[in-house]
Amino acid sequence: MSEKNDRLYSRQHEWAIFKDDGTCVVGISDYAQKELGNLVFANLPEEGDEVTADTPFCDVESIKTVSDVYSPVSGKVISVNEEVMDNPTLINSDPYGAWFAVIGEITAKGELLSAEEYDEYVKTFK
Amino acid sequence: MKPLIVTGSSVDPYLNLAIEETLLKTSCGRRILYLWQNDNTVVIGRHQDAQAECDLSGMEEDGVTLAKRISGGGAVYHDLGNLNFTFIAPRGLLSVDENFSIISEAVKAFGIDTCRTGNNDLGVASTGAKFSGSAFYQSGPDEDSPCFHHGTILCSCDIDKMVRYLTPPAAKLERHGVKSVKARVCNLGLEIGAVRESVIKAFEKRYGEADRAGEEAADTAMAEEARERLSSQEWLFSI
Repeated sequence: MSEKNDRLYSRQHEWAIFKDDGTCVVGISDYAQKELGNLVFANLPEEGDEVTADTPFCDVESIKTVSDVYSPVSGKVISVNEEVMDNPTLINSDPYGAWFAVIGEITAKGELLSAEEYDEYVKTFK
Repeated sequence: MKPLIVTGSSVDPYLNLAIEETLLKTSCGRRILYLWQNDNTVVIGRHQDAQAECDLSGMEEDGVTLAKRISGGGAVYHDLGNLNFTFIAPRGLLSVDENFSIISEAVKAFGIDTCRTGNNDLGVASTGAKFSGSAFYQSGPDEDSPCFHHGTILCSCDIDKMVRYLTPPAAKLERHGVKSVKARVCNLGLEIGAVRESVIKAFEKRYGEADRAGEEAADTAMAEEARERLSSQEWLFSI
């Protein structure tokens, strides 16, 4: 098992940590960063943006491609990781620490997998 | 399902980029080749700053359009001496190497051998000078997420203009830099229509006979919505 147990995962390879205060912290999985290769740009959302579950809410650019990133929940962006915007290689070096955004006022969740289920899901691509 | 080849007739960069995006979004697993041309346009990458990448005031004086694509990479100059290709397919079926070999075969038909230069470019084998640059977009990381690989084929593009508009005013003083751009890129010196037919032939040789359509193959309402967004100041000047 390579995925972290403290969070859930989407089929679009985002991770989501649901906090006790009702907010959700979002980033992308280790599998996603490996598939993308070295990241050169993280175009994160802005505070106050309304996001919709399973819909693109920001994008990243690697040396290979631009890729959309999907929101695991519907809600409102309450904070954004400026450090990741300034230094997108953090996503490669620490995908589970390099969070993208915190989403609050959550009204809906997309379908999310446990670490174990996500691990099995990723294996189907290998 | 047969692959689809769409040949554009518009030379409006905003409409063409909107058609490309619409074809991607409605591709539903189908393999599509879109061939298109922009007149007198600088196209910058999704995360580029127009101010830093090109000579906006010179472009305005000369009536050159600024456009921004949804894929990554650097700024390019397009005119009617350049042919753009877009390969659209689900991520699991889109092979960059295969796409490059189609373009290489199409050019080889005119007796010109090609080579890969850098990661995403094609050059003329005899000199190494680049005639084709590529960029990539994926709507998601899954096998079935629609993706595209698009790029340029310089046939008779005005390279003096390319150098002029792609040089921000601050860099104009560094003459050496400008010279080296001119040495690194080249035109194939071929007629656009002939190259287009040759690309189509190489594509069909690889994937079988394809359906043909014009740009009306893209949903008009979706393309119009995308055109509005892609031509907005907000899109062009956000970084």
